[in-house]
Amino acid sequence: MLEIRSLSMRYPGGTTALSELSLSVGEGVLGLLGPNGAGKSTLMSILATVTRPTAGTFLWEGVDGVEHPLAVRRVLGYLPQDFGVYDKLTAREFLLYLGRLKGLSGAALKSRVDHLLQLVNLHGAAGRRLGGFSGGMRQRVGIAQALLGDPKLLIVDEPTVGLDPEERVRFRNLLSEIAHGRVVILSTHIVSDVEAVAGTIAVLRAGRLVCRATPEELLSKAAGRVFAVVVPPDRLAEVQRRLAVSSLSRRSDGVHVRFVGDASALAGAEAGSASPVEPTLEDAYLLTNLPGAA
Amino acid sequence: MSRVLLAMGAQLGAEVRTRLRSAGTLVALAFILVGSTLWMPDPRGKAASLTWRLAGEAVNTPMYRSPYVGAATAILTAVFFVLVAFYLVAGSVRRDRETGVGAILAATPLGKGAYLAGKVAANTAYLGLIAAMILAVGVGKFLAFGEGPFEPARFLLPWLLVSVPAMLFVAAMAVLFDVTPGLRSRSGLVIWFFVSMFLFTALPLALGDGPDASGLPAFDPIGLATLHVLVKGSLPPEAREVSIGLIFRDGPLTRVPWAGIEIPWAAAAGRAASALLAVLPFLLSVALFDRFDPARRLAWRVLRRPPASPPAAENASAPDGGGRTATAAFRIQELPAIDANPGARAAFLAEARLIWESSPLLRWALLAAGVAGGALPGESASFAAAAFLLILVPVISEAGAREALAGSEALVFSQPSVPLSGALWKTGSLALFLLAVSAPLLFRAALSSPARLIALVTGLLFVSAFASCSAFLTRGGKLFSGLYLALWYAAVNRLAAADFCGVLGGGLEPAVRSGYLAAGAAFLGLAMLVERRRRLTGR
Repeated sequence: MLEIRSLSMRYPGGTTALSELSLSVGEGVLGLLGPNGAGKSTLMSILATVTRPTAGTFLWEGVDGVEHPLAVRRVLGYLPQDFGVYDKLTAREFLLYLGRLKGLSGAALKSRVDHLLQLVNLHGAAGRRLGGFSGGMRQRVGIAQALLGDPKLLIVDEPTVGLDPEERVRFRNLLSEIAHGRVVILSTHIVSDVEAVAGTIAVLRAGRLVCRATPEELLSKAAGRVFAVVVPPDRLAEVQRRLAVSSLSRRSDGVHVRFVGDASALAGAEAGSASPVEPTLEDAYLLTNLPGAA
Repeated sequence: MSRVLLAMGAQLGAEVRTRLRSAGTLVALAFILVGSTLWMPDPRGKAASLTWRLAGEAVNTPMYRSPYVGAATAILTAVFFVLVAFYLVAGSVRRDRETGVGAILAATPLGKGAYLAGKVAANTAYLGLIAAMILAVGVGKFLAFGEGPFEPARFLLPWLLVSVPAMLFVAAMAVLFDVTPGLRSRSGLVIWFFVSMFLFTALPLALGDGPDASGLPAFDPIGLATLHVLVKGSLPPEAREVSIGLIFRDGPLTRVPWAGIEIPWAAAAGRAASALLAVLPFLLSVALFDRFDPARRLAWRVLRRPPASPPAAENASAPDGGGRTATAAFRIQELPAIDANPGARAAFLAEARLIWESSPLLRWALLAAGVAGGALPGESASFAAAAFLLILVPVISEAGAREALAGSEALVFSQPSVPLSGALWKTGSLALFLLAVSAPLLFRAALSSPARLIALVTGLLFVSAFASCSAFLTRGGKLFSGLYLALWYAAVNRLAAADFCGVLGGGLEPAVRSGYLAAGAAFLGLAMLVERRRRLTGR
């Protein structure tokens, strides 16, 4: 449904955000992972037709989205990473405005807005001005607007930022439901969100695609490459320098370190005491960031 | 103490850098270019900025020597502080509030006095830089056209006399407007224009313009009136019709030797007192500033009572009205299907409607002025039409920059109905809005004569392009507010060519109408070019 062909984006000043990125995306949720500055938001912005790439293109159901952005916008629901709202409008007025810009009108639009406000749990605050909303409530307004036009292509950039745990779960369930028959691209730093909903994961680094796999494939690649070890506190700095540490906790018997990669990087006795553990998707993601992992 | 000074220094550096990189600096440079051409005109031309008449003689103007160019530089500097300076520096506290930077600063040890002092210092430094550019241009003009020796004191002293107190005062007033509810909004930009013109310019001129014309004004924060008095004092007693404004003459100007203004100690002391006057708005700002905490606002403290504890049953549900379950009230698949018909028409209508909805109070005043302008007889209609054109400023000034100001660009410009050119969309929507709210004026103009109808329609199209494109280009409404108000002021003062809508008794000639249409088209063209560049560069 969505085919990305050699997309490149170079900003004035020389920063290369995307470099010859190609990717095919089918129905379901694609989780986009990568460190800060990997090019995720630039990719989302290009796919949302907000930014024009310096080279390459993408096709939505065969139509060139760079040359014909309106064709993409007709099927698009987009939640940017940072977005502002009009503080003096109420949540309902704001959604009605964006609905009109999507070409919706009349009673159908009003009914749609009311339904979506219910869906994101804001029906009780629909008449309140957005200026008084908390960050999480604004985020939910953003989610509602992304769903206004029954999108076939849903692009959500860090959608769960600011949401409390319950709302996060609610949103993840919503994404899973909406993914049926649609393309959903989810960019986030929260690996557990991706794990919960994504059928496919793409990892970007420095504007390039370094890995594309299902969560199961990533986990299987990580098997045997995740370890736990207890080290004395005075050795911690050295261990952190040598290994990709995914978590650590200080306890009475020392510092419990979980790391990914090669246990032989540990010195002598510590290497022998490191025991393999069941990898998580977060471990698997960290492994993709190790030198030579791609 | 040193920590506070360091923090203020950091604030000053960041603010000045931000402002120097903003479109406002380009506006200031444009003002200097145009202003220096007008106020320090080519001595071979027919314009002058300092003139007087002696009995039975032609209009005199000084020879293009250091005393004259120095005085003209000081006058231009004063005009800059009256008309432009405030608009260049106002809004920095508001920006911190809207971007969230204020909340971050509020969590630092920086006190509100130090924070606001940093803002005043930054405003002063920036205005000082721009004023220094005016001085440099004055010197350049002398080097290009001047005659006689270059006398640095003739340039520096009048300039210092005006600029130092004026920059301090305007810098502090900008901060006061920024922190005062009601003044920090778009309306504040309009209010400042009148405060500056009447309270800080006309009143001091009246105070210093007594029958003997020898007394310095007791109140003159900007310094234009003091300059006027000093110029008068430097001329022969029989000189009349002394003007430090622009004069264009068809006939020859008589250039005569002029010794220049002398600055008595009383004038210097008066200006020093004016500099101290800046403390008042600063102290008032400190008293009014809420430090980005609504609960600290005076009105909030007086009017709002602590909310009563909600009943237990209400506590069980979320404050946003929904139950706290991880399951939605219904599933997304249960949403009824909906047909969208995206198209430019929908976007133009939606935007025009939003302009209306974004001014809940002023829109009614605008509508009332429009109806009065269409219905009242004679002069009253002109008065109402002038009021209509004035109320437009806060209603439309930021419409073209709404997305940039709110950070909603990505949300809005990814919608299918929005035309590929945002500038065109904004201009068209604004034109639609203006034509709708001007319906009574249009009806009256149509009944009056085709020329009036054409004048009003072309004027409204010009205003649409001017407002939306200047806001689009500068990502704010200050440029439009400042320039539009100057144009409006000229129009209500019966400068026929400035009557951009032809509703104040002038501006009906085809050449004038074509000029406004061309200006509107030029604004739109420039905005579309910039928009294309922004799109290509991702900025």
